[in-house]
Amino acid sequence: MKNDSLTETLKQSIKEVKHGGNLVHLATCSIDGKPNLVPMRFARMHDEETLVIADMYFCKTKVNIKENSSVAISVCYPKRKEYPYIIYGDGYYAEKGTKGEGKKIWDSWKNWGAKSLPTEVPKKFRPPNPNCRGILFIKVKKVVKSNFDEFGKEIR
Amino acid sequence: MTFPLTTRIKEWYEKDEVHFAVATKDGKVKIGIAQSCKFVGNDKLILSVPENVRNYVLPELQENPWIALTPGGQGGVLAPYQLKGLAELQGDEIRINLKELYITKPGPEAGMRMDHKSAEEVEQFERDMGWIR
Repeated sequence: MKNDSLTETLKQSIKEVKHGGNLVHLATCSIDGKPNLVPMRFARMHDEETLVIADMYFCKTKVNIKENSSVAISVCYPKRKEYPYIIYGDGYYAEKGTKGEGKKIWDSWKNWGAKSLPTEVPKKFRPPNPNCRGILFIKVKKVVKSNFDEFGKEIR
Repeated sequence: MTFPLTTRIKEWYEKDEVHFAVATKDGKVKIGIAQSCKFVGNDKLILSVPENVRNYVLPELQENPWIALTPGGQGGVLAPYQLKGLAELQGDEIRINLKELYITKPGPEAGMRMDHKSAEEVEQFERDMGWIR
């Protein structure tokens, strides 16, 4: 993935709402085809080709990632119209003890929860203990438009 | 058993767009977005889907009926419930027989399956959590 205007746009749109970004929806899937879709606050571009999402109490998401790398993310709230993108890629899980690239990513993001407390989320819906249990890192393979008049149009 | 759709779940889903995920039988996932939705009866949901979105998700829906949904807008935070069901494309609608309901709020209750409860039990759970009074 090139370091161009789309990459810069993704960096601007995929980050915590309190930093001007968006809530995103993360889709994963079991190996036998049962999809799972959950909202995520802690999402960022790690570099030009890697997107990271913090594991704050993953459940089926983690099970699915361990058996099937296919993932997708849709930009949702509050600027879906400004940033109409769905991103596809291969997802991998990094946590304490992970080796290789996953170790570097875990070391970079393991304190994310404390560094970006979810103060903009209504208190009763905040995670009670926003500590990363792990990091999902996604190698971006494709980006498509999600505005209805161009839905699915591949732009990368 | 009646599917536990509370008034609050219905209102948040029907309030805004709905994001949904479909997949091939071997697990290649794809996301679609419905402009709106409407609950029918106790366990059915109808998505209103623009033609471009229908065409986009058609191959997956023809191969595999499983679909997962979350509410758009602020619903993902304020109504943290994922629905899963079996979908069928009929004209310009996607009709879903609802089968499963899960909590998506980050916290110890994330991933809890709720569809074995009654709507009254789901509402009591929300009161216990402090989500409603």
